[in-house]
Amino acid sequence: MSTSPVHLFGIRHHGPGCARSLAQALDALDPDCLLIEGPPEAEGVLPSVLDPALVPPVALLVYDPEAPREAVFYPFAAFSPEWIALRHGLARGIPTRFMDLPVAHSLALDRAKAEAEAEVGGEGDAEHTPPADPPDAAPELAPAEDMALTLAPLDWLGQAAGHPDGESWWNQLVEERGDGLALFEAIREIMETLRGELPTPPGPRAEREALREAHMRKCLRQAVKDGYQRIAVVCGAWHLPALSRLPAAKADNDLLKGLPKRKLAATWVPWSYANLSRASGYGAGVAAPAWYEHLWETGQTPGADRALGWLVRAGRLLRDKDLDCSSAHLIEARRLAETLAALRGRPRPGLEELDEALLGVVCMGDPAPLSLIRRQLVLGDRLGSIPADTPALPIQQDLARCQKSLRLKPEAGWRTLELDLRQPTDLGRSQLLHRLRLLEVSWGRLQQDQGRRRGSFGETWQLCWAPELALAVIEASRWGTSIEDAATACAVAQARDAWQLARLAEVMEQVLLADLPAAVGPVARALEDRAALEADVGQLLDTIPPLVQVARYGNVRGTDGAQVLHLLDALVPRAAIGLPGACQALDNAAAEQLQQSLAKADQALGVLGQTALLEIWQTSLLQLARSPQVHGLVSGLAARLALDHHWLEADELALLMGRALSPGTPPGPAAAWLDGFLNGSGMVLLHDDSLWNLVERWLCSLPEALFIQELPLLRRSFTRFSGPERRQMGERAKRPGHAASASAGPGWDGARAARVLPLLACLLGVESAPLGDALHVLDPLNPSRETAHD
Amino acid sequence: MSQILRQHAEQLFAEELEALRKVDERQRPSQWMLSPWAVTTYLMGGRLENGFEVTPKYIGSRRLIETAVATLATDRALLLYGVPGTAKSWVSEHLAAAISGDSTRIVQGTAGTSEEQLRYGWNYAELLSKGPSRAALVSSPLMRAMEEGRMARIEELTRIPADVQDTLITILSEKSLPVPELGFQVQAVRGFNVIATANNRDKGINELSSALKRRFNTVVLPVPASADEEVAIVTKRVAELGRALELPAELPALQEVRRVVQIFRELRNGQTEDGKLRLKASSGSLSTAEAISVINSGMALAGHFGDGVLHARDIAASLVGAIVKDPVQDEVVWREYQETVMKERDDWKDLYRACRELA
Repeated sequence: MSTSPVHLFGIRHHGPGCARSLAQALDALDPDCLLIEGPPEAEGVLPSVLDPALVPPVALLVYDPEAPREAVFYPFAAFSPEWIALRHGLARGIPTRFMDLPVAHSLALDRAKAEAEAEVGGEGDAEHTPPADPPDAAPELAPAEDMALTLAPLDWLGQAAGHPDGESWWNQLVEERGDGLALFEAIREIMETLRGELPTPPGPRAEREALREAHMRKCLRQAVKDGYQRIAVVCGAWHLPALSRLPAAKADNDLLKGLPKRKLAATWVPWSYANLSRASGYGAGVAAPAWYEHLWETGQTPGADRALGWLVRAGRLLRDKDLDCSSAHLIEARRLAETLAALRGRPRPGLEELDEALLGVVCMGDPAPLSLIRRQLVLGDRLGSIPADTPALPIQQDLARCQKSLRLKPEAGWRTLELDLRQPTDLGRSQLLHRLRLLEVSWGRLQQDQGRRRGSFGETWQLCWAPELALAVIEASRWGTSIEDAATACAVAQARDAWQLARLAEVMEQVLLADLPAAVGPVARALEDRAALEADVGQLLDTIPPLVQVARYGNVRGTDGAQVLHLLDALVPRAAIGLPGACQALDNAAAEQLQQSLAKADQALGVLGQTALLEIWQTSLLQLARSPQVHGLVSGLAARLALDHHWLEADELALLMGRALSPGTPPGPAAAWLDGFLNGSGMVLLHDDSLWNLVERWLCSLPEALFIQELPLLRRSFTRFSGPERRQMGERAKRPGHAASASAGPGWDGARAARVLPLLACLLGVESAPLGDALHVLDPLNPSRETAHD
Repeated sequence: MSQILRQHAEQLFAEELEALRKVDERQRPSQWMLSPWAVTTYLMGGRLENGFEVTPKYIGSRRLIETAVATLATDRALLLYGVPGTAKSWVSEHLAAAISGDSTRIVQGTAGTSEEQLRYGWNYAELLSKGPSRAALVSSPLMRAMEEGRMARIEELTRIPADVQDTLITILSEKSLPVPELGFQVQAVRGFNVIATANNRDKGINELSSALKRRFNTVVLPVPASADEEVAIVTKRVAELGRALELPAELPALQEVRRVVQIFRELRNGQTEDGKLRLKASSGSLSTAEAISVINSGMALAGHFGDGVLHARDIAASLVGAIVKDPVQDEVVWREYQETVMKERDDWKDLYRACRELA
């Protein structure tokens, strides 16, 4: 190697150990030319690397200005070897070039392939959304391909060395160990062996790899030709064997000839550790970005104790969350970690040993606090930032384009916008605003319940564009390159993090309002999962009506109801099964809440009219109606709902009511039952004599003291009836044979007094309803009326 | 064949321990019979350099056993934690056998365990005739382990009343046991350590004080990781138990065992095996041991009251009993499972119907 001007440095993307060794190697070599695996199109924006306002994690974004959805991200963290190399080269003014296959070619090839397959997947934006699309159809995060290839072989090596997977093997061998310049030679040898032993399976991916490596070799030859003496090549370790020998240029040139081309633009976008992690579906992602950052930082500080620093950070985090963790715990955790490392023959504890030590010593074997550490200290939530003068991002351009086509100008100062969703433009505007809301770009505020425009086809927005919204848009760029893609990815992420069913239902509603078909599946899945674990039946019931609404009336917005129907198929049986149990031992407030949820859910199910669901709902309602342990409000309501559905025979109803209102039942529950049963309408009493008589008999049997006690509740039930209903009831109550109740008053004749009321109403010019109220059977207890009435 | 009903681990596996000792040249903590590596190999099984085959004692994660062994090597006490039936006592016995060559220094924790059983008691005849003396002192297994520098075992630590548990604090932190009556103390010899087991289903009963907790490293032994592993364990144990009890029914088809194991796993993990559906998890522990007993009682039913072949209806009854431990909560879990999972599986119709009939 020493005679050749070319020096190869095989790295793992985002490996801090590689980065540390690379920094040393570059200092020692002092190259006069740097070739880095990266998109040649992005060389124009490279000078920003030295700008202090560009703080990693950031990503290079190479995209087609004509179709920004076709784009490739190249992420960098502070500990990425490529980042180190870039800074090294740019700071010293050395020619620094990217040598990967131009994105122009790969995107054009992708498009050609997508067109050839004539698939819908060509829209591929799916780098963040879970892999619903076939992976090749989506333009991936760039270095994904070669790592995907190397990871499996690394697993082989890892297992051969007694590790559970390649990741931990590589971590221990490369990322977590002390520095050594021999490292790169060792990596090259490993890769030579691997690629010799495991020939790449043929296929489109292998062809693409061949193209990339051909292009890398071409760049390499060019650099040699330019006469540089010490050329440093930084690339994924997998490519080393392909670059260590340079065959004749002709074969490569033939391979690269005639590749389709496109004109692309490049810029920087802020990135996050969450996006960088493998959990986000990024092929070259690392499992533990924040741990790597810790490795990198302690590696930079001489004498820093890596394990101790880590444990102290973990301890502080646990204490912040009010979990016990004393210094003694940390001492013991450190001892255990070191013993474990010794047992496994490692010079220093790695992440696994520290993890296991924390689990055993601090967390008492309970993995819950550990997941906190994983989220905050292993994965991390760092967000990068970019200088203000960075060229406009595709998502900003996309927004501007949408604003133009929808004629929706960003203006400072509030203005009101009324939308009629039956108009395509207005529908588009509404969708755009809803999408922005999902992305937390709060340009518009939706006015709730604007009286006359309550219909499902009207919306009223308050719009105000503030300068800081531009920043919010930039921040949203990490979700995707167009507003729709970004909103989709963001909604899916929100659904993944949401713990409350109500919140999930909200996300679901937003997704449907924003018309993001790609997000519906994952969000529905999350909702289903959450519903399965939800023990609060009230919450389950509350999710039913909005979903039914969407399933039935969703077509105003042209959404697909099938997905929602499927969701209801799972949700309703769960709610129905849990219902009888949930209605035991309720206090009044809880019963009231449940009563409302129950009524709304029942109404929604009735509207939906799915027999299979109604069947299981019926069983549950009847059980509620018949069970004596259930709170009166709920069981009364259940009886009423069952009656309305014709699931309850009149005889049985009479039996139930008789039982609820019998002398053995204390008056409080009995009144509650009646309130639940009447459910805001008295017609049922007017139409059924036997029920009427039961109620009357119960009322009359109440001793005065109890009657006064029950009065407010009864009055509340009855004031919910419409005026005519109350009048009819009053008239019926005063009819002969029912006089007993009316004449219970202290000495004045209600019936005679009532006679003047119609005339009085006429004179006063008021409706008869409030006066009909005066006719109420309960008149005799006049003094309490004023207060109870308001 | 020995007449002893059950031999200690160090007797039963004496040959393996000896073989390991011969090849083991790694560093040993003082008083340990084997190095930590050899102890781990003894538990997890493997082939030695000289070709000797060590049988696995514990089937599961090697990392857990490594943590347990490393804990004992750091002279911190070890607490093995887990639901009933996850081989805690089994692991504890084998650890003690491999490390000290003796697994008999054991205190069984019960609600009636007293301080004397953990520290020392008196031989009253001796005490009355000669007054307090060393000869009148009756050492506890723990005290003897301290003197000899061996592993002491405490079973079911959380069953021991809290005030008695706290006796352990001095022993674990000062590594000494004062005997004020005789004016001396026993100071633990190197090699002494404590392996305790506790059951995390009963954690509300006598939960460890945080002072005591802090002196233990905890290793949670999980339920079997894969369905195949669990099916194998259940099939093997059912066959062994069936022989001992002379159950009249035919040994069950693998399919029936698989179904029971699958139900248990799904309800335990809170999701279906294909990962498509989330479920509520049952409050019972649903351990492998319980799956074995479900099959066993199903076989007894089939043998005594059925046609001698294990059918869905024979299993259904004991299945409900094993799953529904809390009549309100688990009933919901079980019914949801029937309606959303069992009903949808075409080849499970018989079991679904059998369970519905019982409800």
